[in-house]
Parts: sequence; C-alpha cells; structure tokens
Amino acid sequence: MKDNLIYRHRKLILFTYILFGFLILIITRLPQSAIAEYHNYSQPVKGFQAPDFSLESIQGDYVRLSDLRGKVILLNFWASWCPPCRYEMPTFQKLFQQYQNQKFVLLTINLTAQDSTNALDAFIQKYNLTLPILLDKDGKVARTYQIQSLPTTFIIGANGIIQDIIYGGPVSETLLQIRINQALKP
Amino acid sequence: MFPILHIGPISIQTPGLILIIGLWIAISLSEKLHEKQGIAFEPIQQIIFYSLIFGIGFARLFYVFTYPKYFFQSPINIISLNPSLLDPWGAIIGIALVILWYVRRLKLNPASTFDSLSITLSIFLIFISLADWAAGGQIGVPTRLPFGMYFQGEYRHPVQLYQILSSTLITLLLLKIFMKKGERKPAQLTTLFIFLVSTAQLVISGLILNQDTIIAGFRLSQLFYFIIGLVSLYYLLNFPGTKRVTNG
Repeated sequence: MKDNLIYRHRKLILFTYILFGFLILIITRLPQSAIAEYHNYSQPVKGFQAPDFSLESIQGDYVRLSDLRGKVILLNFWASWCPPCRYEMPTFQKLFQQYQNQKFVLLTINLTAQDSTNALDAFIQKYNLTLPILLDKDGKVARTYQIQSLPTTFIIGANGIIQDIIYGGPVSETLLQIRINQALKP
Repeated sequence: MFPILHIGPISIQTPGLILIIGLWIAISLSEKLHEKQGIAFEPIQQIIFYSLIFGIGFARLFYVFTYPKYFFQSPINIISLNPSLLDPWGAIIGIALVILWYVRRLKLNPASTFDSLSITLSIFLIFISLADWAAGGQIGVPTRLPFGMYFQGEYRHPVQLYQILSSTLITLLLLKIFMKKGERKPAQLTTLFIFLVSTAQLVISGLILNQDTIIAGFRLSQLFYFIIGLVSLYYLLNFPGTKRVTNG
C-alpha cells in the first residue's frame, strides 16, 4: 500500500528533490568576495595561506617567508634527535641541489628550542648539509604551524597557499618530486 | 583537530588508526547482524578482504602509471608504504573487479551482495567521518547558529560533526530496514544508501569553505552529489513490479 502510494507520486517526489537540490545549490553558493577572502586566511591548514614568519638561518641572515612569494616552497620541521628526520635529510639535500635553478625554495626549520647547538653542528657535518637551515629558537614558528610531531613537511604553492602537509617520515623522495613538480606547473 | 596521537615515545597518525579500528568494527558488527538474519557473510568477508588487497594494489599501479618517470628513477617507491602514493580511481577499479569476479565465480545474487556490502560500508562510513574529524582539514562557512566553531574571527559550521551525525543516522536507518523481517526490493538498501549519502553530502559540502573546485561560486562536488542523488532516487521510486528478495 505504502509502496503504491510512493510509486503513484514518484514524479512529484522527483520534482521536489530537484527543487530541493537547486535550492541548496543557490543558498550555499559562495560569492566571489568570500572566495577571495578565504584565500587570505592565514592558517597552517591545506588550502589556506601559510602563516608568515621571519627566522635566522644558520649562516646568520634572516629569511622571511612572504619574501619568497612567487616560488614553490617546501618547509620541513625537524630536530637532530628525531630518527625519521635523520633518514630523510639526505633526500632534502638531494632535492635542494636538484631544484636549485627552478622557482623552488627548500627551507628546513630546526626546532632549536628542543635541540642543542652541538648536536645540530654534528648533524650538519655528518650529512654534509648545504641546504638552508632556519633556527626556531623560541619555538614560536612551530607553535604557529601547530607542529605535533616530527618531521612535518609543508608544500606551499607560488601563491602562498599550503598545497599539502605530510606528517611523519621519512618522507618518500618520489612523493616529494611529484608534489614539487605539480606545484611548479603554471 | 588531532592528526597525531602520542603514546609515550610513539607517534601515531590518528586518522589511520581510526580507519583500521573502524574497518574491524564494521566487519565484525556486520557479520553478527547477518548471522541474526540468517544470511551467509563469508562471501562478503572474502570480497572485503580481497577488495582491500586489490584496491590498494590497483591504486598504487594507477599512481605509478600516472607518474612513471619518478618511479623509474626510484623503483623501490613502487612498494612504499606511503598512503599518499595511491590513486583513488585505481582503488575503485580494483574493488569493482573483485566484486564482479566474486559475484560471477560464486554465483552470488548481485543485489543482495551489494546490499550486504552497503550495510558494512555504512558502518565504516561513521569511522571515515571520525577520521576526517581527527585530521581536521575542513573549515565551515560562517554561521550565527549557537553551536558554531570559532575560527579565523568567526563562528563557523562544524562540518565534520555534521558528517559524523549524518553517517550515524544513515547507518541506523539502513540497519532498521535490514533487520526488518519480510521482503525487500532488489538492491533497495544499496540504492537507499547511495541516495542518503549523496543527499547528505549535497548539503554538507555546501557548508565547507575549503578543499573544493569552485566554478562561478558553485562547488563541483555538490553538482556531482546532486546528480547521483537524483539518479538513485529515480531508481528507488521505480521499484514496483520488480523481483523481490526475501530476508531471513
């Protein structure tokens, strides 16, 4: 009986659903101003602007993230005591050399607040690192980026928007190459 | 929210852990419910098991064929445990092949096979929603409702909680129909599941601010869910006169 009732009114039910669908599409439509606005939100979340920071490098100069707008950025948070960080560092060194002449910047941020200068120096010598190493001495940038485990890697597009976040490691070199090349595409 | 769970010195990716636990619960619970209804669950268990293997295998294969030169440079990554190196379309094809093969090989009734898989999937969907909430990647549009979540200076729709709620309600409804004695229409549960999930996603994805392709302000995912919902509703409404399956 109930089935026959539904069957007899099926066209009305279908029409009501189509109306409902269109209503939802129209009500939830995003105006252009909202789209532009959310692209300016600064949060360590995929799809949003990477929070800006300025950190001293191991060479003594300062690097500001916003100065690198227009380039794809790989941001890696690490510490010398973290085993996966040790395993993946040669990968980052290789990528740094591989993409040196492209619109790409690789920045590694050492959580210096949780590390020691001696261990850091020994680490750099052991792996012959020439890639940029920034020092987060007070842990502020790590807190801004809500780093909950090490290593954590962010891939930031040329427009400053976070395209991917990779938790843990050692991160796959193939995955990074694919992500970087996807981000470098115009 | 909390993508990483720290247990002593060990860091675990929370979404992955939730999915593994969820899969186990979904299969166990589904098995018990099928036993109560007198329906054999073993073929379904085999389908799920081999779907996982072939789904992951095909997902990796498709990803490798999409980016062959990178895997050629480093072939060891073909067997890497990294879940980011998986193609979802490959997974879907792998799973579809397993289901097709099993239905033909064991001469299973396709409609009741899909219904049983839908029951299991709907329970697992709750855990997919929970894993999504743990990952914390979705941000809602602003709202004045009292239960909004505060983010970036405004209260916003708690979209991940909506996902959990909708998946729970869908599962409860499907289980209620499944446990009811009497005749059911062929693939009724499957079609109803698809319809309910599509409709829920049509509404919820309209409340998500990020992670979507937007054309002229309209989210592409919403259009997709709308079409799927419409097609499944059409099928649901045109059942009378078709062959029925008996439950229990």
